[in-house]
Amino acid sequence: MRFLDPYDVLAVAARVLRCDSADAVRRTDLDAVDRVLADLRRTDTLAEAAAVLLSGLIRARAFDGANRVVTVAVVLQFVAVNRADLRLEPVDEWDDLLDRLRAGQVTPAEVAGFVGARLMPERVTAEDLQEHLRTELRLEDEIAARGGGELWRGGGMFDKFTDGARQVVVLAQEQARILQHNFIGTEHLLLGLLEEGQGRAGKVLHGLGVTGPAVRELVVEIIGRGAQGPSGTTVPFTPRAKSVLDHAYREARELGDDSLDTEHLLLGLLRDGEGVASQILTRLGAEREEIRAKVVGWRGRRQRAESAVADYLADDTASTWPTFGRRHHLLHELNAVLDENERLHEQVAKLRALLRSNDIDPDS
Amino acid sequence: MAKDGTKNILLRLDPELAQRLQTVASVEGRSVSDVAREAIAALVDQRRQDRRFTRLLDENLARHEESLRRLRGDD
Repeated sequence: MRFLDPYDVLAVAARVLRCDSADAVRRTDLDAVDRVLADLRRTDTLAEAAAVLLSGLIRARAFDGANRVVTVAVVLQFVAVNRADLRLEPVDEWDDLLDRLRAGQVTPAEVAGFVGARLMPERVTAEDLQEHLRTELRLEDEIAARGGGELWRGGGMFDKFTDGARQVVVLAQEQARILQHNFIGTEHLLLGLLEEGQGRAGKVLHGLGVTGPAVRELVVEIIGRGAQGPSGTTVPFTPRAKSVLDHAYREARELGDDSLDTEHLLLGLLRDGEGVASQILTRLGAEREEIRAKVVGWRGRRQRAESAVADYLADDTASTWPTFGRRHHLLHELNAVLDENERLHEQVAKLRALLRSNDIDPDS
Repeated sequence: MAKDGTKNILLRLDPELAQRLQTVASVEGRSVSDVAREAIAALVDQRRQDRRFTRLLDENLARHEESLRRLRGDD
């Protein structure tokens, strides 16, 4: 996560207030800004940090005359430097939150939830990843190291990644920075999958009780926090993390997929078997075979849904809807139902196990 | 709040920098706070000349202009 310093905040204030820098300094409570920015550095996630920034500046009335608009602009700039955006509509909801913040009627968790629900990660392009990570996956080196074997890594390797998978890599980098590690290891990729949360991999992990805080705690226990974070924008992958990307690519290829998605990254992590991420999954009781079975099961359901929708559309010639739009809509609905069904099955299985552990026969 | 509408600032400075500020303030016949504010403003000016930061800010404000305008004023 990139933090702001007081000069960033004052520059935003000067721009919004349309005044010169000296005037912005005069109209700003510098001590309050300093305190809030210090609090910001104690947070772990972007939503939490943005919520602390918003709450702190609003409560302190840090900007004379236009506190509300300057504060929101500062928060927007903070999330923007962290490659995200905030949804400000409907504005009434923000005004309501800010009123309650001023009145001390809202908890930090509520503010974080409010902000988190409106955070929109910026779409990450393959070029962004190549430019910002410079992952040391130069094609020539790889060819030399592998005797010309794998040729997929190199200039365009992230072209094959879906938006979700790219987001995972960016979040892995962010997690490495938070933990002040100078590298991206398998453990950061695992944290990236959990932080991304929207993809199948994150959902499977969450369903098995593998959460971000639990994983982060074990990362700190196993390898500790770094003494100081990465010095520049470059955070290289460890050799094992590079292997995970290789494994993920092979998984995608063997499954006949054209692109590399979050579930392939998870399968790649499982294939690795010996990295810190694997150790953590084992410690958290998530068996590799169980995770794999869930991912493969979900893929099977998705393929059956796609097939059912294709058959339905082929038979339904009367509709005037554009086929693509209908297909997309039907698939979305069907997948949502199947996901919910799966979730309920898991809940039932957990309840049955709980009954058995208390010597109660669930079928009696 | 000070009488002239400015806010008092409590600066945590290392002793050497505090001494230099004190010296500048004495020579120019101004308060230490005044000299410190000027130094901060110079650093803010520097930030406002950072192209990437400014571009990001301009894009942000342009994208959310309408919403920001409709936010209620301070109470």
